[in-house]
Order: sequence, then C-alpha cells, then structure tokens
Amino acid sequence: MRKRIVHILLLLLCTASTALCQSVNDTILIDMVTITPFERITPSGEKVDSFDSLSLKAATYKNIGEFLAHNSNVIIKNYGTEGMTSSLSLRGAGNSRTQILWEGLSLNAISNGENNLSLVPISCFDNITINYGASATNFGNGTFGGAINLKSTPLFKKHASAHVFASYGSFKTYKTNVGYSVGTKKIQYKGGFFYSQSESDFEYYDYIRLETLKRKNADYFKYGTIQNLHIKFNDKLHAQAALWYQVNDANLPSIMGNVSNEVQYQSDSSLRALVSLQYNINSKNKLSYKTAYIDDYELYTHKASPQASKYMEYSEMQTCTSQHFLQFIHKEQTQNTGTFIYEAELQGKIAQADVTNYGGKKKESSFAGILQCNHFIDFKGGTNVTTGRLYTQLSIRKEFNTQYSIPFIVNIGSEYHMNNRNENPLIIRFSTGNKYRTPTFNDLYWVAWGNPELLPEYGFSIEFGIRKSFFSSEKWYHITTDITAYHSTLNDMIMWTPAGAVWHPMNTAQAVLQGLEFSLEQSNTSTNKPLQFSNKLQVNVNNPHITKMYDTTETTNSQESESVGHILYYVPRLALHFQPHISYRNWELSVFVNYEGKRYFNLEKTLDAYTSVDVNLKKSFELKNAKLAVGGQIRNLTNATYEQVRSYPLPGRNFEIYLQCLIN
Amino acid sequence: MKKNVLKIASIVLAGSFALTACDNGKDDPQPSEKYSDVPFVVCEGNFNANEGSIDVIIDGEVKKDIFQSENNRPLGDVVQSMEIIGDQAFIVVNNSGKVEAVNMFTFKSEGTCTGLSYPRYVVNRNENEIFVSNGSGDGNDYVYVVNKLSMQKTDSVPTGLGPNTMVVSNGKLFVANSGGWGTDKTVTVIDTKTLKLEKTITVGDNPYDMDVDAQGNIIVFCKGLTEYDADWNPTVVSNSAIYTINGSTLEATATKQFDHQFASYGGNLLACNGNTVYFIDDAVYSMTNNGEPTKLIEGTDFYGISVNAKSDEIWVTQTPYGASHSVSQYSANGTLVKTYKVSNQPNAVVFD
Repeated sequence: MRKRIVHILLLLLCTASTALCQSVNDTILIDMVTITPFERITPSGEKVDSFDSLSLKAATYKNIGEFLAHNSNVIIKNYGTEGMTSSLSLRGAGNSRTQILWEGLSLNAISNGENNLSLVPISCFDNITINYGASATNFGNGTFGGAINLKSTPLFKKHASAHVFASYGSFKTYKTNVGYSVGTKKIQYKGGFFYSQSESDFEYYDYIRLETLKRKNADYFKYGTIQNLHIKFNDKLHAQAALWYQVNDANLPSIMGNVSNEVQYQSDSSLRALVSLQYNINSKNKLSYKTAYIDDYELYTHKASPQASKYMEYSEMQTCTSQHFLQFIHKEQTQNTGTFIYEAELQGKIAQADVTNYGGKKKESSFAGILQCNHFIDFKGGTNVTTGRLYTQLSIRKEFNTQYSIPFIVNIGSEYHMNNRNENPLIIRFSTGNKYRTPTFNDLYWVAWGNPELLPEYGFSIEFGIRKSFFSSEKWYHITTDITAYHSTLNDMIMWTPAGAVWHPMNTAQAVLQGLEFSLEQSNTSTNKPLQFSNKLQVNVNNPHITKMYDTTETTNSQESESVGHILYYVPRLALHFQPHISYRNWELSVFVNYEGKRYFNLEKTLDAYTSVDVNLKKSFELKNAKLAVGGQIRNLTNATYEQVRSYPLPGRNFEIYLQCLIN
Repeated sequence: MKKNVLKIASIVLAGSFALTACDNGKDDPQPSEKYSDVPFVVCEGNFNANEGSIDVIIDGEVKKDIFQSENNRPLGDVVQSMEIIGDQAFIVVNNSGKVEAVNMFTFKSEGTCTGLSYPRYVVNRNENEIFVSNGSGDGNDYVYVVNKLSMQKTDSVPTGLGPNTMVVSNGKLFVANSGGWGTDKTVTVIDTKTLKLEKTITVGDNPYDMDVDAQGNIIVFCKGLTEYDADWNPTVVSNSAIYTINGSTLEATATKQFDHQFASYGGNLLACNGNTVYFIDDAVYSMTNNGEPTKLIEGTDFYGISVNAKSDEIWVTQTPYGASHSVSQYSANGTLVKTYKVSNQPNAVVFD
C-alpha cells in the first residue's frame, strides 16, 4: 500500500509540469510566478509575526484580508465591501512588491503581480506568517515590502473535527464555510469549502454628482475549496499533497461620478496544486522536493450597457506555470562553536502565455540556486545556565532567467535572544540584503502599451528591531513590545505613466521605503480567571518617497522636480491600529479601531485621514463534543465616510450576524 | 492672582480685536477681480480618475484646479469643455454626465445640470438658456436645452451620431456630428428659436471641430475614418479634411483635402481668427482665405489649439508621454511667448 502511494505521488510529480499546459488560449495578462523556497528553519533577523492555529481559531469569523488588517502593519486598499477587490501591501511597497504565498508558492496575480485575498476564510489555514522585508534570497522576486505565507501544519495524532460557519449581513451578503480535519499518527486529511455572495448595493454620497446613490454593478459571488493531505510514512519520509481551487465572479462598479451605463464583469478561476516529499536521511541531513502547478483563468468583458449585444471589450486569459524546488539541509553541531545548518536549494520555473494582446506566444523560464548557512550558539552564565542565543544567517542566491540578468543576491541577518527561557525575553535583530523585482508580462508585452525594454527593479534593504516581553511574577499579565526601523532603496522603479488614454510602464524613478513599526501587545490569557482581556496597539510611521526621477522626454521644467521627495501614493505617513478584546466566561467582545492619516493620490491632492471602528460580540455555548457560537459584527460603527482608493466609495455602518459550530 | 489673570485676558482680547481691525483684506482680491480677463485652461484629466480641472493663469502663474479650491469638491471625470456666457461659465464634465455653472469672478458653483449621459459642449441660446450637445453614438444623441437658472433640461432636439462642437451663426445652431464611438459625416442645423431642424449637411468623415470665420461661414474639421478588423489591424478609409459651410446658403464645400489623417489624437484641432484658420497636424499650421496651409509652429504632442481674439495670440496645449503637460502662448506670427505647466490633458484655453 505504501509503495503504491509512493508510485502515485511520483507519477504526479512527473506529470505536473506538462499536464494541462496545452490549453493556453488567448489571454490578457500573464505574470511570472515567483519561485519561493521551503520554510526557513532558523530566525533570519527580519521582523516576523506568526499566527498559529490557536490564534486563527479565535478569529474564524474573519476572512484573511480582515485578519491581516487587524493583526499586522499591512496597508489595505478596498474598492468597496469586504468581498470586492482589495489589495494589500507591506511597508508602503505596493501590492506587486508584497508576495502572498501559499505553502511557499507565490499567489500574486499573473497579470500585474498583484494579490487579492478577499473572502478566503481563515479556517482553511493553520498558520499565517508575515515576514516584513522578506529577503530575496529566501523569497525570490518582488519582496521589497515583505511576504505573507499561508500554510497548513499537520497534526499527526488521532483526531476528528469539523466546523461550520454561516453568516448573513448587510447588502444581502451571505457567507458560509465548512471544514474538517481527520487524522491518525500517520496521516492527516484537512479540507474546507467556502462560498459567499453579495449585492454590495450600499448607499453612498456621490460628491461628484451631488446626490445619494446606491452602488450599482458591484455584486459578486465566490466559492472554493482547499484540501490538504499529509502522510507520515515513517520517521524519515513525509509527503504532502495540497489543492486550492477558487472561482471569483464579480461585476466591477465604475468610479464615483461616472454616469455611463457601461457594465464591466470579471470572472477568475484558479487551480493550485502541489506535491512535496521530505526525507530525513539521518539526524544531520534532510532532502526535500516540491513540485507545483498553477492554472489561472480570467475573463473580462465590457459592454456599453447591460442590454448591449456587442462587447466593447472581451478578453480571455489562461495561463499555467510549473515550479520545482529541491532542497538539501545538512546540520553540524560542535561543542564550542555552536550549531551550523547548511542549506542548498535549486528552483526551476516555467511560465507560458499565448495571448493575442501580447502579439504572440511568450515564455519565460528561470533557474535559481540558493546556498544558506545558519548558525546559532548559546551563551552561558555563571551557573552554566543559558543566558542567550545568537542566530546568524548568511544566504546567497543566483538566478538565471531567459529574459534578464539577475545579479547575485546576498542576505545576512542576525538575532540575539536574551533570557529566552525565562519570563522576560529580549530579542535584538538585524537584517540586510539586496532585492529585485522583474517586470510582469503585462508590463512587457501588452500590445501598444507594454515596454519590452523594461529592466528589473533592484535595490537593497536593511532593518533593525527589538522585541521585549514582560511577565508579571504572578503571571496575571503578559506584555510584548516590538519596534523596528527599516530602510529600502528601490532603483529603476517601474511606474505606469499616462499619455492620453494610453499608459506605458517605464523604469522611471528611484524610491526609498523607510519607516518605524511599533507594536504593543498585552494579555492576561495565561491565567484561569473568568475575565480575560488583551490589547494590541500597532503604530506605523511610513516615509516611502521618490528620491530621483530618471531622464524622460521632458524638455522644459518638469514634473520630475515635483515628484522628488514626494511620498508614494496611497501610503499614510501615520497609521494606527488598536484592538482591545475582552472575554468573560462564554462572552467575547472585540473592537478594532483603525486610523490612517491622509494619503496622496496625485502630486497635489490627498484622501482625508479617517478613523473606522469595527465591533464584534460573540457568545459561545459548550455542548457535548461541540462548541456553538453566535455572534454579530458591526463594521464602521461610527458610519464614517472615507475612501481607501480615490473615487471608490466604501459602505457606511453595516452588520453581520453569524453562527459557528466546532465539532471535536 | 485673579486680577492678574483678568488683566492678561483683557490685553489678549484687545490685542486680537486690534489685529483683526488691521486686516482690511488687502491681500484678497475683490470678487469682481479674481478671475477677470484671464486665460482658463480646460484640463480633461486622465480617464476614469476624476481629475478633470480648470486651471487659470494669473500674472504669469498657473493656479491649478480652481473649481476644487473654490468649491471644496472635485469637478469630476474628463472635463471636456468650458463656455463663458456673460458672468457665468459652464463647464462640461463628460464622464460625470453633468454641466457645472459657476460665477465667472468667484468660480463658486451656481448650479449643476445632471442626468446627462455623454455631454460635450455648451453654447448660448438666449438670455435664459443654453444648448448642450450630448451623445456617444449609442442612441443618446441630442442637443438639450437647459435653463441657466434652474440648470434643468427643458427640451431636446435629436441630432446625428456623437454631437460634438457647436457654433451659432445667423440665428442657426450648427452641430458637428463626430460619430461618437461610431461614425458620422454630417452637421445638423437647428433654428435657435423654434428648435426645428433646418438641414442636415454632409461633410467629411467624423466632423470633430468647428469655428466661425469673419464672414459667418462655418469651418469644419473632419478627422477622417479608420476601420479596424478583429485583430485591430487598421484600414484608413478616408483622410482628414476641412470643409466650409456657407452660413447663408448652408452649402458645404471641401476647402482642403489632406492626403493623411491628422497626427494628433486630440479633438480641439481647429480655431479661427478672422479669416485665418489654425489647425494642428504634425505641427501648427495656418491657412488664410482658403489658401495653402503654412507651417507656423513646430513641435510635438500637440493636443488642442485656441486663439485669443483680443490679442490674436495662439495658445497650444501639449501632452507629451511621460512628462508634464503644458500650454504654450505664441504671438500671431508663431513666436513663443511662454510655456506653462498645467494639469493633465489640457485641451483648450478659454478667454473672457
């Protein structure tokens, strides 16, 4: 039986690269999918926030976008209600320079390098890791802002559980998801299905047309499934197979003030599959192999009116990419010089597109090698007690790409963990390295708009951080503070520049991303008192700005001097999140306060600063082998009027009631 | 202590009154002076960006987006045109489906006509009413009559496809039917008093722009027609042309047939001053008394042309790719006076 399973997996490995890649039709947008390595095994000096299954379970009424907005320094841009298009980025770097990863695979859209995580439920994952300023050696292309990894972690013990979630909210919004996990000491199967739909027909004041209107053509429905199988054949061999299929169907509303009857519609479907094998050769050596296949389809239509029989635009896109990762880890430990862990990794990627709007077939391949040396050493005190541990990581990456010359990428990072095992640990960390981002297929090949002469963006980043935790002697409180300062330089920044109705991408500027990130978390949840409370405060001070404009065709006094020194668009200089949470016996109350300062959307004009407040109240009931929860959310409690994207109104106060059942 | 506090408070209060009394508002221009006799630059803004604006040039300096600064709200998406009529200006915002009426001196809004699907231009009808051309060639092609006071539509006249620029001459309204998103080759003539259709005149393909010469003739710029196949391969069906419509007989003649289509993708490519016609192709040309065109101003990325009838100066807008957009002021003989950086996609300069 075991042999048969191995044979099947090997067969899948061999066929994953080529299966279904033949069905490439006319497409609009194809982006290169970045290769990412396996999970890092030692701290790297970068700021990392990690949320395990326990903390995710407490927030199962949220989707990922909402969870990240409430629990990280991520900048969210929403185009409407929570299920409509939204994009997220870290450190003001922009959507396409922040990688969203699933089990280490980049999910950034193949068209324009961007990501959209709206409405994927939290319950589909066991761990979310936010790696701010993620190194390019480890994460590859496009990580000037950072990387967010969604993953499952197997529970190799006998268990069976399920959950059901259903909600109804304003604007005829329905959401439901079901999930299950069964397992033994050798095998775990976990999966889930999700569905949501909404009319999104919220009222808003149109300050262009000076009237109160209902949002039109903003309805959507989305559904999908994520399945995960982990098999532990023995102590040496572990396999994983995972699949994520999702369909998003949405009408795209026009901007505020637009009076046309034009109707835009977009349908996306994505199939992502991966298989991985991990083999522990012995206590010092480990070999891993992963292969993945991603197939994306997008249909975009544009009509002059709902009744029009002819399309103004009709675009279809289908693309597939295959990726392969081979990783070898070797561990050496000595008495006096600490522990060395060496990693070597090879990555291969093929992206293909056949698009009329690209003027023909396009293909891009790359092959990368990574070498990494991790080291840690303990420092002992007078009584031979470990007082601290120093981690250091040095990594080098070389990528060979059929389109570009990518230089050697080097990253070095270090973390010192002081008093790690007692009640008040202190972590001091540092990381620096160079980075890059290659142009997307849209940037390069779009007929009449694309620019095949584009160069990759490149630069470097550096960050320092301190994290300190405090416990009271009676353990009735736990406080963690973290402060990080970062600086990145981004050369040959690609910006789409308008020329009338036509836009062109150009390597037009040099930018700097810099800022301070501060967080303070407090909780008393480690006690057994009936009243539990926690607070989380995050403050970001952002200063991403243009430092130089490169030569353009301008011959007179130019816009270039106005851009230099200007903050990047849609990044607030000051952002603040505050999240108090109280639970008493079976009641829970959470509040999320979000403040964003003013944000520029062009050289002279800004979106106003705003504050929004969301409130969630939940009551749980303990049943035999199950837990039932009933709750309600009020979003935008104060009915604030604000925009996160210029000319896209956001809903006022709205509500959602939900029912959740966890079965063990 | 209490006495000292009162003393200090009264000094502060008195001081503040004194300061305000000294402020005679000398730095603030009087409402009648603020926007008087200055050039206004109509800036379309990028499509689907709600950044259309009216910029103004005062004492050689550009003040951008005066509608926003005077009314604390944006104009909207794609500002197509502006027409000054008496003490008011009417600003057509194409993709926001409205016409804004503002006071010419303060630029404060005095009313908004909404409910338009694709408005393009405004001309005066009479003391109380204006004409608004509206239509994209999709069955919504009309000239609307709008009351200046209420800014409500009161009447409508059907036209050809894509009614665009309009001129009034000899009691008649001439409407260039540009085709909108389709194609047309006519000019609709309407009696301004009775609103009856007088004539539909055939000219060249896609008449975009019109002006009136010193004799009351209507000079029409026709862009020409290009068709595209399913793979977007173009086929030129007809080239650009200039027609003259006799204002009395309503007969049209082809004044100039070109052997190509004009290079600029703008729509405001023609202006008249007396008997001289200026137009934009690969440069700015002038043509007097229907003679041969003469290259007047060299340059690239020209988008719109306007003439100040008082000074005979020529104003040309430029929209280069990847750089700031501008408007340049030239003397009548084509000598550059000055260039001004303005907001995105300037298409015309309007004079009081």
